[in-house]
Amino acid sequence: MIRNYFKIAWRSLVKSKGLTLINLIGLATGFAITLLIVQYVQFERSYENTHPNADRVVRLTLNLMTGNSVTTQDSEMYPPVGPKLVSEVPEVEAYSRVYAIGEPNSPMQIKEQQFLMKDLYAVDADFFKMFNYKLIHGSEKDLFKKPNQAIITESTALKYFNRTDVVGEVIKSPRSSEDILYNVVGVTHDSPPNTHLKFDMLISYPTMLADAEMLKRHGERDENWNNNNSYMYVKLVKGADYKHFTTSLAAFNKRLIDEKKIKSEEIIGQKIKDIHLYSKKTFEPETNGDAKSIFFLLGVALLIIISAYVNYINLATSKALDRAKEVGIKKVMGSTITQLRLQFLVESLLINVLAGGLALLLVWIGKSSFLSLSGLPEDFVLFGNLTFWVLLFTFIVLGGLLSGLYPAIILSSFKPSTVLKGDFSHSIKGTFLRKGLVIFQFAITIILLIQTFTVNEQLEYMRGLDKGVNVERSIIVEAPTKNSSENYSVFKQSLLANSNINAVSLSHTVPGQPSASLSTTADIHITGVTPEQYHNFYITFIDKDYIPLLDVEMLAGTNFDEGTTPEKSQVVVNEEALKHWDIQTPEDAVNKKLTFWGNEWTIKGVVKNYHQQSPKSPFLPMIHIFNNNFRSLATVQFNGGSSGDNVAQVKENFNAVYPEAPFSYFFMDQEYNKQFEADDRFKNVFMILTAFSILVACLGLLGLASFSVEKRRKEIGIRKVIGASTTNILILLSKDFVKTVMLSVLLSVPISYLLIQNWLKNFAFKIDLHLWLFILPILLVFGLVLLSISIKTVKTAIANPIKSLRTE
Amino acid sequence: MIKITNLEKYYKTEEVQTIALNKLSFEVKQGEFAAIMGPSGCGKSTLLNILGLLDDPDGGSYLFNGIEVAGYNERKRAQLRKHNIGFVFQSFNLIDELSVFENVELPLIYTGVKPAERKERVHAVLEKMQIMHRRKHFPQQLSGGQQQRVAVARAVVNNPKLILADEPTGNLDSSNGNEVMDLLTELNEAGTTIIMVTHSEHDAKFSHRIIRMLDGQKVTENVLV
Repeated sequence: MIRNYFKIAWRSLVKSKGLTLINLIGLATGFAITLLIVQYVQFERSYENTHPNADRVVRLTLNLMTGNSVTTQDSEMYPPVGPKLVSEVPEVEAYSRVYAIGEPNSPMQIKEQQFLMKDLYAVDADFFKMFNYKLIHGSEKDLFKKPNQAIITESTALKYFNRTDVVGEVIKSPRSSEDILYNVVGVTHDSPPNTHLKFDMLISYPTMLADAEMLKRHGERDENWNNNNSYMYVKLVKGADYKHFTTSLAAFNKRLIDEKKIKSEEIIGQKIKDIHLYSKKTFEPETNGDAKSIFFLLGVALLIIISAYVNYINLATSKALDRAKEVGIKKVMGSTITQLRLQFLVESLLINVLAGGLALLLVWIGKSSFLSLSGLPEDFVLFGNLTFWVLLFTFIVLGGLLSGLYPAIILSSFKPSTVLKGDFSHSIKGTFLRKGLVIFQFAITIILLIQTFTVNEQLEYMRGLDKGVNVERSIIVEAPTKNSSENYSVFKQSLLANSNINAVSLSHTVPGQPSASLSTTADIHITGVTPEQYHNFYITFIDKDYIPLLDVEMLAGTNFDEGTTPEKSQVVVNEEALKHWDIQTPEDAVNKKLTFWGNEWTIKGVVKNYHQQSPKSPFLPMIHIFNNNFRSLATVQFNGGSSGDNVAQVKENFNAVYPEAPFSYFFMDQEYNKQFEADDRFKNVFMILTAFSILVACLGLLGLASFSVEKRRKEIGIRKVIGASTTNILILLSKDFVKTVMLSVLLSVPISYLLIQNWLKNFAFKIDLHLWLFILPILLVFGLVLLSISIKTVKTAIANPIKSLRTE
Repeated sequence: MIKITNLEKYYKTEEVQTIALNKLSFEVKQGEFAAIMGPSGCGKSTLLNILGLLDDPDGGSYLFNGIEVAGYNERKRAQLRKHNIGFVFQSFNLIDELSVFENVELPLIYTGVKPAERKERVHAVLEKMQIMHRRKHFPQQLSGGQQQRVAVARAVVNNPKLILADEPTGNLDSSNGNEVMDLLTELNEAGTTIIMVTHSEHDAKFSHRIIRMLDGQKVTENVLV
């Protein structure tokens, strides 16, 4: 019997090839896209799962306040907070400061080989009680309690030593003064992709205190309540109540204010499991994900799969008219309702199994592009993941049953006496439901399409916006570790001897680099004025050539010049900074005195605001301090020429002056455009989802069109006989669908408007919402609607009417 | 008005070719009322479809008002059809979703008549068919006889020169059937040419001439009047 069911089911699928294909494509794409997105969402939600104590680990961050409102949320903390909290708050059992060194790279040397180490942090000993990094080699006894200890990851060891057992080796950090030596005391596995804090090398925090130059440069003193530059993690005692901890933290804050350690600031806790999806503070160790987008994607994926099931139901019931006779005859022959229902369920299961197979193929084909698009690690395990298969199995079985049940019940309930006479009024039931589902599908599609148009427009707008700074044709060279400043003038002159090189300048950072590459200080005020509010000011160090090289406009005063020396304590500030000091015009600012870092500074000039960061962020209040040492970056601006030749040119000059140093460079425009990568990725994912959503919705409409056309076949015949033209019939048949989609438009436009407004809030510089951003997607959808229903309607409209009337 | 000569129509399936009309020839004059009779499958309906310009012949000639229409394409046939031919079917073929008024109005919409004139003409024809009081009803709310009167009203509202009736009384009892036949006779007397396919000898007697068919060919032709 079962075999018979499968045989009939298979034949029925083969018989209506077109319909089967539509069903297969719809279901398979629905399955595939949902499988991929669920995997992605699962990954995004799995952050810190590899650390067994993650539930007890909290990151402390700093809110800068104006009265009761928060002006800036900074993810970095003052170094003394950890030790003080452990001694004063019983819920806290351990702390670790995590100080990022280098930003972005630190020069290192192993024997004669020089290289730049990325992701290097100084951490306290208790770091290992919070984060699960077991040593593959080395001993955990007294780990990181002494200065100059280092742990590197397996990959780092393999990269520089070609082996992993490197305990006892020495890694040197070359400096102009005395080099600093790190003893490798352990090798640990690589940071998993799903942690917010990834590293290549760790050094013991005591090094920061023991080494005089480090102490001077980074200022991580035990009593430093001025610079918040380290991440601070604390581990709560077992069974600690988080709510109670936040109360204790509030009391701790109050004590700090009373003790005048902090002012207009508040320390708050953040569970590390919440960092990746929910934290949007400044100076995060990496760009975080976004819970809203994740759940939005998941929602859309679920809608796509529901749409695919709805389509199957629509198409199956629209086929009811064809199969009503079969049902009638079977019933007359003695088939029971259960047998008939089983038959239809087997059909639906069969098509779901086939769709599952096709979905696997689609996932396999699309896997690598999906991984790069979503930013998942390349070695992400997809097919080896149990949830993947459980989900696929659920889709097939549950989907097969759910989508098969409705047609099975409808079809099997036809009364043989009526269907054999050709009365199908029964099957019209549910039209309302079907239309409702189509309205819903198209509302989603239009919303997605409007969003895609807006996202695209906003990104184009940001790219095209006047940055106020020229990032083109510039190559940035990272400073060598030794004799960098001493030999800089030779290097610079050798570059400028080339007529194709326009200018060379020095700076601590360049536009487009993460905000973490700038120093921040909150307490910068006009000398003698006590500020009412605290804001973060962003500080960078530049030489006299930096501002003209970048074409930054001077508004008042002058740029640094030949006579400027660091000792003169002069600064150039931007317009944005003036706002915080209540200075009305740039001219008013010139020669005003500022107090910060225990020193008095004179405003030498004011520059026009420029986009140090992408126009997503507002203009930063910036302070430029004079520095003519080649410590970080040198910018070489060319007049033209190919980028390959230009790099070769710079490299030749660099190697001639610094023969032992590694040559490391990047292009300023590329670095600047990296800021758009996350948004581009979001746009791409959106576009793909939209495309699939359109595909599935159009398939659904095709289903509804076939249903409607079948139902009206006779009516169309009559109309044609009495004089309706093909156009008349096409209009008649399309009118209903156009009305249905109109309802979708009415539903989707206000929702889209709200969503877009909300999304655009993420951008400091944003587009005006033009009408065409709505009209174009709507027209596109209408075009697609007419196109997809035309597959059915045109055929019916041009058919000879006697065929539909012949049944008489 | 109608002259067919050696008209041929085949139906092909993968294996067999069935001849529906086999070199059929006859003529129907303007103002004539002709009945076509014959057993099921003799080609009556096929003939009516070709005469009604719903289908095209595979061979032979079809002169409609002296113009050769056998080679017309669908668009031209439709154009000619909607201005010249009215249809009455055995199963009425009214559109269930439209009211009596809307059903009758439909051909006028398709010929581009203006709304005010449409209303006038529909009312006139409904009065004539004595179903004016039912104009707001839907087909399911009417008796078979009333439905066929609506169908006839729809067929004549455009003042066609030719009415093709396919067993117009087939679904009606004898008294309703007679009413419909009387209506057709009246229309014919007013000048409309009528060609009717029927199984009923009784109905055929309302016509001027009976053409009997078998296997796609004309067998006999009896002139009654």
